[in-house]
Amino acid sequence: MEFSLDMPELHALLLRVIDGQAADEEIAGLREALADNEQVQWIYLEFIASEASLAAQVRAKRGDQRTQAGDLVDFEKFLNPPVVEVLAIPPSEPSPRGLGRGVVAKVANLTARAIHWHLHPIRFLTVIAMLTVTMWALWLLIIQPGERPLAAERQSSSPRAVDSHVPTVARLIRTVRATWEDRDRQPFDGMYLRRERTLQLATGLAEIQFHDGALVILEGPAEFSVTDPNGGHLETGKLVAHVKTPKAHGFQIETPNATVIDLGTEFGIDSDRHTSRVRVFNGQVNVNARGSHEQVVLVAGESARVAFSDASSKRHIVRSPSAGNAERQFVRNLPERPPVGIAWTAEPFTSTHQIINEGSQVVAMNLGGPQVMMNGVHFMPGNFGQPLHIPACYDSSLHSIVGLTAAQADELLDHVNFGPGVNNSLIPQNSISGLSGLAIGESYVIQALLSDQRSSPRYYDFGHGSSEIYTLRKIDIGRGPVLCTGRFTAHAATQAVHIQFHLIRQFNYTVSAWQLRVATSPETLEGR
Amino acid sequence: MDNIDRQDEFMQQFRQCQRDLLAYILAIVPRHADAQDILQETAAALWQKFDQYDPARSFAGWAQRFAHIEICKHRDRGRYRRWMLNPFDEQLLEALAAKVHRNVSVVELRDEALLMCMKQLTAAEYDLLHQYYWGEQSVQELATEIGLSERQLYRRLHTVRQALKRCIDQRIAEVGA
Repeated sequence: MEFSLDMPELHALLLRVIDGQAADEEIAGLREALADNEQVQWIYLEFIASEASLAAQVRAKRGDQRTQAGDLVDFEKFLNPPVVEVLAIPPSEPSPRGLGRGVVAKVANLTARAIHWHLHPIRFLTVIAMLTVTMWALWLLIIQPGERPLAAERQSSSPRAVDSHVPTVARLIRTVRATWEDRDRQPFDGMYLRRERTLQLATGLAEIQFHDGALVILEGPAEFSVTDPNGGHLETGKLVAHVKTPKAHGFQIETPNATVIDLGTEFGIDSDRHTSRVRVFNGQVNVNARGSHEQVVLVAGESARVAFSDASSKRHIVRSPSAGNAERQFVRNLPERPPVGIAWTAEPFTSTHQIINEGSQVVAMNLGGPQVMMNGVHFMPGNFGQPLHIPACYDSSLHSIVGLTAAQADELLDHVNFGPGVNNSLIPQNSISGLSGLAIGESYVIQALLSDQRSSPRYYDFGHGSSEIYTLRKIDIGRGPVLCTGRFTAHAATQAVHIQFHLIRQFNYTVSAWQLRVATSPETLEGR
Repeated sequence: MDNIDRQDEFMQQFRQCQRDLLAYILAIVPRHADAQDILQETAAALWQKFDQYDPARSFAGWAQRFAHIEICKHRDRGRYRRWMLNPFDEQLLEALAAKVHRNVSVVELRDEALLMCMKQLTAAEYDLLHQYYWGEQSVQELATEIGLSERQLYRRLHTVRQALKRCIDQRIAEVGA
């Protein structure tokens, strides 16, 4: 091909080349000319230099928060890549009065753990950053009162004092279709219960884990108080207790009529003010009648009734070994609920974008809806990618989609470019909390989509990391937000996932979507 | 905070040579999106091996070798099939480098001129350039957003850059005169 040295023409060709618009033969011609024509080399070089300058200048002028004016790369991408960490509150929560010391101790502890986890120098977070991040995360976890949106809490910046010095003795793990008649705070999944806390379950089921290990399934209507780490009081209603750990042996339930002491077992109690029925499913229990010395030991399959007998002023225990069919059924386990969730907000857990936790799906998102302004956060709709038709119910008042199946959620994450939430608050939203309904011991995969304010992360591979409770297997970045994938096994205390950043350098990534699902096989998260 | 110091040191070093690196990459892979990816990957690789950097040697030279590796990797991934310049043709590259270095003052002059000329851009023109060079959208998406065809978008970009070039040439001529 004849090569033109006409300047404007050559310049036009170079522009086409650098824009990827040149035809193959044009490129070939240029390549040939470059190999042996010194003048073309000159012009080419000068052109490249000016393009590099222009790119740098354009960039410099727009220097945004994360990027120092003139930076041509995103340092944060590799200096401090995000790390998915599952944080949990240890069962014996320190009282807020001793919070200061407790937090410091815990921070040190977590820091030590984190340092242990992230051996690779790149992922090795500095102690200061860890302290900052961890403090913040802990604050989130401890203060979170559940019924108020986190964002509102944080903005008012006055963490409310909870009834201070009373220690917690148990935790409300999860509920199914529960409604409450509690006068003070509405209980919520994951809530820690202080000593003498009374739960008034109107309907539905609630699973309560005592700190010493006993697990109680409460069936509404019921009134139940947690009295110490290994015991409670059932005023009315039904419960089933699972006592499996040695520490929990001796677990004790009081009723108005009886004291039931576990000897390593599973048992049910059905109680009203006049009569308490006890049924043993496994192992054995000791039943004492209140106000008398009468007691019996019941073994698996046996039942007993404790009540005043007509003839006396004392309560008596009546064995009913073949109670079988006559007895009301006990709910011995909560129905399994596969926790699958997808949430997509500029700022998670604000009031209108609260996670809707119903049935098997959890969804809250703004899918191409109008811009939303909430709590000072200007939230842009996220759908900047190709529109994706998802046969689900779009609730325009909530800007949310409900009723996605796991497969649809997957598809959504795969195909929709989540846009940035334009987050005017200075606190990066990088925690996913309120993980409720987790099955203890179950393995989960959590994916989080993170967008920064600029939302142009470029391709980068973060590599791998691991720890005893989670394994970070893959982080993908394409055009669009960062996708973090983590895996963890749920503990009794697991309630939040925290994506760790390096706050020192104003790394303003924010969780704009997340999805949680049960890990099906170890192969689902192959590293790149 | 040892690690923070290291990071600062790294960023400082990198900032000093980043534009030359971009130019080097662009010369071999003359496409902005690819070149920026390669530059990003180069920076990441440099940081990973920063422990091995010998401060007695030139950081720019060290970095350029990494860029070279990333350029090769980039082609292996099939993203940019054929180089414009052969990065293994050392003679050619050296000749080019020499030319670039000999013209440092010219480069500075051009930069100054460029800054002045950019002030003459309208906000829309400036935005267009910014989105084109550093935006996250593809050219196609950008065109759709602005309401142009791809071809029209390129033509507009072309016009802006031609105008800038004319402006720069003119300024340099004035200074030189």
